[in-house]
Amino acid sequence: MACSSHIHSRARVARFVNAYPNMELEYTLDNAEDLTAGEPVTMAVTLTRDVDEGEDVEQIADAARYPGTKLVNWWLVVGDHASRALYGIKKVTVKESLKTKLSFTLPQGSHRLKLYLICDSYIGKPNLIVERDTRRLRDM
Amino acid sequence: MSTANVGHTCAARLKCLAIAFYYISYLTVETFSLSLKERTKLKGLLEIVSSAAEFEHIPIRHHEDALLRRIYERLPVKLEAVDYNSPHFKTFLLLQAHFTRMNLPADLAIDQKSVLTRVSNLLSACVDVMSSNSYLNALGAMDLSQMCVQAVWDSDSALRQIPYFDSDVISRCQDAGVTTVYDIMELEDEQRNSLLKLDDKQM
Repeated sequence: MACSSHIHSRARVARFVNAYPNMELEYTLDNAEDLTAGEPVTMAVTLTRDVDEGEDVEQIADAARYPGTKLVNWWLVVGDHASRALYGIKKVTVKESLKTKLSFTLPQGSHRLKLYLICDSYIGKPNLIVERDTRRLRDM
Repeated sequence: MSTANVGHTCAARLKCLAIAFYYISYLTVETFSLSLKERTKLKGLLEIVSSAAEFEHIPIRHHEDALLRRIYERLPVKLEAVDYNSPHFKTFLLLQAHFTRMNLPADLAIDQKSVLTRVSNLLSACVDVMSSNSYLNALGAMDLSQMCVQAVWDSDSALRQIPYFDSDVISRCQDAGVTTVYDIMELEDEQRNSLLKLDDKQM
Protein backbone atom coordinates (compact mmCIF):
# COMPACT_ATOMS: atom_id res chain seq x y z
CA MET A 1 0.00 0.00 0.00
CA ALA A 2 1.34 3.42 -0.90
CA CYS A 3 2.06 5.65 2.04
CA SER A 4 0.60 9.15 1.69
CA SER A 5 3.54 10.83 3.39
CA HIS A 6 5.87 9.17 0.87
CA ILE A 7 3.74 10.40 -2.01
CA HIS A 8 3.88 13.83 -0.46
CA SER A 9 7.66 13.80 -0.08
CA ARG A 10 8.15 12.52 -3.64
CA ALA A 11 6.04 15.40 -4.93
CA ARG A 12 7.98 17.85 -2.79
CA VAL A 13 11.33 16.61 -4.15
CA ALA A 14 9.97 16.83 -7.71
CA ARG A 15 8.80 20.39 -7.08
CA PHE A 16 12.25 21.49 -5.93
CA VAL A 17 14.02 19.75 -8.79
CA ASN A 18 11.70 21.41 -11.33
CA ALA A 19 12.16 24.87 -9.79
CA TYR A 20 15.97 24.51 -9.74
CA PRO A 21 17.08 26.68 -12.64
CA ASN A 22 19.04 25.43 -15.61
CA MET A 23 20.40 28.48 -17.39
CA GLU A 24 22.09 28.67 -20.76
CA LEU A 25 24.45 31.53 -21.37
CA GLU A 26 25.74 32.95 -24.63
CA TYR A 27 27.83 36.04 -25.14
CA THR A 28 29.68 38.04 -27.74
CA LEU A 29 32.33 40.66 -27.23
CA ASP A 30 32.25 43.60 -29.67
CA ASN A 31 35.55 44.01 -31.54
CA ALA A 32 36.91 41.03 -29.63
CA GLU A 33 40.09 40.93 -31.73
CA ASP A 34 40.87 44.61 -31.40
CA LEU A 35 40.31 45.87 -27.86
CA THR A 36 41.94 49.07 -26.66
CA ALA A 37 42.87 49.70 -23.05
CA GLY A 38 40.75 52.36 -21.36
CA GLU A 39 38.04 52.33 -24.02
CA PRO A 40 34.59 50.95 -23.27
CA VAL A 41 34.10 47.29 -24.14
CA THR A 42 30.60 45.97 -24.69
CA MET A 43 29.63 42.38 -24.06
CA ALA A 44 26.22 41.21 -25.26
CA VAL A 45 24.84 38.41 -23.10
CA THR A 46 21.84 36.16 -23.69
CA LEU A 47 20.45 34.10 -20.85
CA THR A 48 17.89 31.37 -21.51
CA ARG A 49 16.13 29.23 -18.92
CA ASP A 50 15.92 25.62 -20.05
CA VAL A 51 12.29 24.69 -19.37
CA ASP A 52 10.04 21.96 -20.72
CA GLU A 53 7.39 23.14 -23.13
CA GLY A 54 4.25 24.36 -21.42
CA GLU A 55 5.96 24.49 -18.05
CA ASP A 56 5.80 27.72 -16.04
CA VAL A 57 9.06 29.42 -15.21
CA GLU A 58 9.46 29.68 -11.44
CA GLN A 59 11.03 32.98 -10.40
CA ILE A 60 10.55 32.52 -6.68
CA ALA A 61 13.27 30.49 -4.96
CA ASP A 62 12.25 27.12 -3.51
CA ALA A 63 13.73 27.72 -0.07
CA ALA A 64 11.82 26.08 2.76
CA ARG A 65 14.09 27.48 5.47
CA TYR A 66 14.12 31.07 4.27
CA PRO A 67 11.47 33.36 5.80
CA GLY A 68 9.23 35.10 3.27
CA THR A 69 9.47 34.84 -0.50
CA LYS A 70 12.76 35.28 -2.32
CA LEU A 71 12.81 36.41 -5.93
CA VAL A 72 15.67 34.70 -7.77
CA ASN A 73 18.24 37.26 -8.95
CA TRP A 74 21.35 36.69 -11.03
CA TRP A 75 24.65 38.54 -11.13
CA LEU A 76 26.67 38.69 -14.33
CA VAL A 77 30.28 39.46 -13.51
CA VAL A 78 33.32 40.00 -15.74
CA GLY A 79 36.59 39.62 -13.90
CA ASP A 80 40.13 38.32 -13.91
CA HIS A 81 40.70 35.64 -11.31
CA ALA A 82 44.50 36.01 -11.31
CA SER A 83 44.52 39.75 -10.61
CA ARG A 84 41.36 39.56 -8.44
CA ALA A 85 39.93 42.45 -10.43
CA LEU A 86 36.25 42.88 -11.21
CA TYR A 87 35.63 44.86 -14.41
CA GLY A 88 31.91 44.69 -14.98
CA ILE A 89 28.79 43.62 -13.10
CA LYS A 90 25.04 43.57 -13.66
CA LYS A 91 22.21 42.23 -11.52
CA VAL A 92 19.25 40.81 -13.43
CA THR A 93 16.13 38.70 -13.09
CA VAL A 94 15.30 36.24 -15.89
CA LYS A 95 11.87 34.92 -16.81
CA GLU A 96 12.17 32.75 -19.94
CA SER A 97 15.11 34.59 -21.44
CA LEU A 98 16.96 37.87 -21.30
CA LYS A 99 19.24 39.81 -23.62
CA THR A 100 21.42 42.34 -21.87
CA LYS A 101 24.69 44.23 -22.25
CA LEU A 102 27.64 44.65 -19.94
CA SER A 103 29.91 47.65 -20.45
CA PHE A 104 33.32 47.95 -18.86
CA THR A 105 36.85 49.17 -19.48
CA LEU A 106 40.05 47.16 -19.19
CA PRO A 107 43.46 48.41 -18.16
CA GLN A 108 46.56 47.78 -20.30
CA GLY A 109 48.12 44.34 -20.45
CA SER A 110 46.94 40.77 -20.88
CA HIS A 111 43.77 39.55 -19.24
CA ARG A 112 42.38 36.13 -18.76
CA LEU A 113 38.77 37.22 -18.53
CA LYS A 114 36.05 35.15 -16.99
CA LEU A 115 32.32 35.71 -17.25
CA TYR A 116 30.53 34.55 -14.12
CA LEU A 117 26.81 33.93 -13.88
CA ILE A 118 25.97 33.71 -10.19
CA CYS A 119 22.55 32.99 -8.76
CA ASP A 120 21.67 34.60 -5.41
CA SER A 121 19.39 31.74 -4.30
CA TYR A 122 20.90 28.33 -5.14
CA ILE A 123 24.30 26.69 -4.78
CA GLY A 124 25.70 24.36 -7.44
CA LYS A 125 25.26 24.11 -11.17
CA PRO A 126 23.04 27.12 -11.89
CA ASN A 127 26.22 29.11 -11.39
CA LEU A 128 28.31 29.16 -14.55
CA ILE A 129 31.82 30.33 -15.24
CA VAL A 130 32.98 30.87 -18.79
CA GLU A 131 36.62 31.47 -19.51
CA ARG A 132 37.93 33.43 -22.49
CA ASP A 133 41.32 33.21 -24.09
CA THR A 134 43.89 35.64 -22.85
CA ARG A 135 43.39 39.05 -24.43
CA ARG A 136 46.33 41.27 -25.12
CA LEU A 137 45.03 44.83 -25.25
CA ARG A 138 46.35 47.51 -27.55
CA ASP A 139 47.86 50.37 -25.60
CA MET A 140 46.00 53.65 -25.51
CA MET B 1 41.89 56.47 -16.29
CA SER B 2 42.98 53.51 -14.22
CA THR B 3 40.43 51.06 -12.84
CA ALA B 4 41.24 52.21 -9.32
CA ASN B 5 40.09 55.72 -10.26
CA VAL B 6 36.95 54.44 -11.93
CA GLY B 7 36.18 52.51 -8.77
CA HIS B 8 36.74 55.52 -6.57
CA THR B 9 34.43 57.88 -8.50
CA CYS B 10 31.69 55.27 -8.60
CA ALA B 11 31.94 54.50 -4.88
CA ALA B 12 30.21 57.66 -3.65
CA ARG B 13 27.41 57.33 -6.20
CA LEU B 14 26.94 53.66 -5.36
CA LYS B 15 26.64 54.39 -1.67
CA CYS B 16 23.60 56.54 -2.43
CA LEU B 17 22.20 53.86 -4.71
CA ALA B 18 22.64 51.18 -2.06
CA ILE B 19 20.71 53.27 0.46
CA ALA B 20 17.92 54.02 -2.01
CA PHE B 21 17.52 50.50 -3.43
CA TYR B 22 17.97 48.37 -0.39
CA TYR B 23 16.56 50.67 2.34
CA ILE B 24 19.66 50.31 4.44
CA SER B 25 21.21 52.85 6.74
CA TYR B 26 23.94 55.25 5.69
CA LEU B 27 25.95 54.09 8.69
CA THR B 28 25.86 50.52 7.41
CA VAL B 29 27.13 51.51 3.96
CA GLU B 30 29.94 53.48 5.65
CA THR B 31 30.85 50.44 7.77
CA PHE B 32 30.82 48.18 4.70
CA SER B 33 32.99 50.64 2.71
CA LEU B 34 35.56 50.83 5.49
CA SER B 35 35.63 47.12 6.34
CA LEU B 36 35.36 45.27 3.01
CA LYS B 37 38.80 44.74 1.52
CA GLU B 38 40.21 43.18 -1.63
CA ARG B 39 41.00 39.99 0.26
CA THR B 40 38.00 39.75 2.60
CA LYS B 41 36.94 36.11 2.66
CA LEU B 42 33.80 34.35 3.83
CA LYS B 43 34.57 34.61 7.54
CA GLY B 44 35.28 38.33 7.23
CA LEU B 45 32.15 38.88 5.18
CA LEU B 46 30.05 37.07 7.74
CA GLU B 47 31.48 39.26 10.48
CA ILE B 48 31.08 42.48 8.48
CA VAL B 49 27.49 41.85 7.42
CA SER B 50 26.64 41.01 11.05
CA SER B 51 28.06 44.39 12.10
CA ALA B 52 25.31 46.25 10.17
CA ALA B 53 23.34 48.86 12.12
CA GLU B 54 20.17 47.00 11.03
CA PHE B 55 20.98 44.27 13.57
CA GLU B 56 21.29 46.57 16.58
CA HIS B 57 17.70 45.77 17.56
CA ILE B 58 18.30 42.00 17.88
CA PRO B 59 17.42 41.48 21.57
CA ILE B 60 19.79 40.04 24.13
CA ARG B 61 17.63 38.41 26.80
CA HIS B 62 18.40 37.97 30.44
CA HIS B 63 20.64 34.94 31.08
CA GLU B 64 20.80 34.17 27.37
CA ASP B 65 24.61 34.22 27.35
CA ALA B 66 24.95 30.65 28.66
CA LEU B 67 22.71 29.38 25.87
CA LEU B 68 24.55 31.41 23.22
CA ARG B 69 27.85 30.05 24.52
CA ARG B 70 26.65 26.45 24.11
CA ILE B 71 25.49 27.16 20.55
CA TYR B 72 28.72 28.96 19.63
CA GLU B 73 30.78 25.98 20.80
CA ARG B 74 29.06 23.82 18.18
CA LEU B 75 29.61 26.24 15.27
CA PRO B 76 32.61 26.06 12.92
CA VAL B 77 33.57 29.72 12.42
CA LYS B 78 35.18 31.28 15.52
CA LEU B 79 36.11 34.87 16.30
CA GLU B 80 39.06 36.19 18.28
CA ALA B 81 36.84 38.35 20.46
CA VAL B 82 33.60 36.87 21.74
CA ASP B 83 30.84 39.07 23.24
CA TYR B 84 27.64 37.29 24.24
CA ASN B 85 25.99 40.63 24.99
CA SER B 86 26.46 42.05 21.52
CA PRO B 87 23.53 41.88 19.06
CA HIS B 88 26.09 41.78 16.23
CA PHE B 89 27.88 38.77 17.68
CA LYS B 90 24.49 37.15 18.19
CA THR B 91 23.66 37.82 14.51
CA PHE B 92 26.98 36.22 13.48
CA LEU B 93 26.05 33.20 15.57
CA LEU B 94 22.44 32.92 14.31
CA LEU B 95 23.59 33.01 10.68
CA GLN B 96 25.99 30.13 11.27
CA ALA B 97 23.29 28.21 13.15
CA HIS B 98 21.11 28.67 10.04
CA PHE B 99 23.77 27.20 7.68
CA THR B 100 24.21 24.30 10.11
CA ARG B 101 20.38 23.93 10.45
CA MET B 102 20.61 23.78 14.21
CA ASN B 103 17.34 23.48 16.11
CA LEU B 104 16.93 26.61 18.20
CA PRO B 105 14.63 27.50 21.11
CA ALA B 106 11.55 29.51 20.03
CA ASP B 107 12.90 32.95 21.07
CA LEU B 108 16.14 32.48 19.17
CA ALA B 109 14.29 31.10 16.13
CA ILE B 110 12.29 34.36 16.02
CA ASP B 111 15.49 36.41 16.25
CA GLN B 112 17.04 34.29 13.50
CA LYS B 113 14.05 34.90 11.25
CA SER B 114 14.42 38.62 11.83
CA VAL B 115 18.12 38.42 10.84
CA LEU B 116 17.36 36.43 7.70
CA THR B 117 14.65 38.80 6.44
CA ARG B 118 17.19 41.65 6.47
CA VAL B 119 20.36 39.90 5.35
CA SER B 120 19.72 39.56 1.59
CA ASN B 121 19.54 43.32 1.01
CA LEU B 122 22.63 43.85 3.14
CA LEU B 123 24.56 41.28 1.10
CA SER B 124 23.46 42.97 -2.12
CA ALA B 125 24.87 46.20 -0.69
CA CYS B 126 28.15 44.36 0.10
CA VAL B 127 28.30 43.24 -3.54
CA ASP B 128 27.78 46.83 -4.69
CA VAL B 129 30.42 48.26 -2.36
CA MET B 130 32.99 45.62 -3.39
CA SER B 131 32.27 45.79 -7.09
CA SER B 132 32.50 49.60 -7.05
CA ASN B 133 36.05 49.09 -5.76
CA SER B 134 36.71 46.49 -8.52
CA TYR B 135 37.09 43.71 -5.93
CA LEU B 136 36.38 40.33 -7.52
CA ASN B 137 35.74 38.84 -4.08
CA ALA B 138 32.27 40.38 -4.38
CA LEU B 139 31.69 36.77 -5.50
CA GLY B 140 32.04 35.80 -1.81
CA ALA B 141 29.05 37.95 -0.83
CA MET B 142 27.08 36.18 -3.59
CA ASP B 143 28.04 32.80 -2.10
CA LEU B 144 26.87 34.04 1.29
CA SER B 145 23.53 35.05 -0.22
CA GLN B 146 23.03 31.50 -1.56
CA MET B 147 23.95 30.09 1.86
CA CYS B 148 21.38 32.32 3.59
CA VAL B 149 18.57 31.43 1.19
CA GLN B 150 19.18 27.66 1.23
CA ALA B 151 20.51 27.22 4.79
CA VAL B 152 23.70 25.48 3.65
CA TRP B 153 27.46 25.99 3.97
CA ASP B 154 29.38 26.78 0.77
CA SER B 155 31.23 23.46 1.11
CA ASP B 156 28.00 21.41 1.37
CA SER B 157 26.70 19.11 -1.33
CA ALA B 158 24.25 20.89 -3.66
CA LEU B 159 21.87 18.03 -2.82
CA ARG B 160 21.43 19.42 0.71
CA GLN B 161 19.15 22.10 -0.79
CA ILE B 162 16.54 19.49 -1.75
CA PRO B 163 13.79 18.84 0.84
CA TYR B 164 14.23 15.48 2.67
CA PHE B 165 17.87 15.16 1.59
CA ASP B 166 19.51 14.61 4.97
CA SER B 167 23.08 13.38 5.43
CA ASP B 168 22.06 9.70 5.03
CA VAL B 169 20.29 10.29 1.72
CA ILE B 170 23.16 12.46 0.47
CA SER B 171 25.80 9.85 1.32
CA ARG B 172 23.76 7.12 -0.45
CA CYS B 173 23.55 9.42 -3.49
CA GLN B 174 27.28 10.11 -3.45
CA ASP B 175 28.01 6.36 -3.28
CA ALA B 176 25.84 5.98 -6.38
CA GLY B 177 27.69 8.78 -8.19
CA VAL B 178 24.75 11.17 -7.93
CA THR B 179 26.12 14.59 -7.00
CA THR B 180 24.03 17.33 -8.62
CA VAL B 181 20.37 18.30 -8.59
CA TYR B 182 20.31 17.62 -12.34
CA ASP B 183 21.48 14.05 -11.64
CA ILE B 184 18.39 13.60 -9.44
CA MET B 185 16.25 14.81 -12.32
CA GLU B 186 17.73 12.16 -14.63
CA LEU B 187 17.14 9.21 -12.28
CA GLU B 188 14.53 6.53 -12.93
CA ASP B 189 11.72 6.61 -10.33
CA GLU B 190 12.80 3.29 -8.89
CA GLN B 191 16.40 4.38 -8.31
CA ARG B 192 15.30 7.74 -6.92
CA ASN B 193 12.97 6.05 -4.44
CA SER B 194 15.63 3.63 -3.30
CA LEU B 195 18.17 6.42 -2.74
CA LEU B 196 15.55 8.36 -0.81
CA LYS B 197 14.38 5.16 0.89
CA LEU B 198 10.90 5.99 -0.29
CA ASP B 199 10.29 2.50 -1.59
CA ASP B 200 6.85 1.37 -0.41
CA LYS B 201 8.15 -2.13 0.35
CA GLN B 202 10.27 -0.69 3.11
CA MET B 203 7.24 0.55 4.99
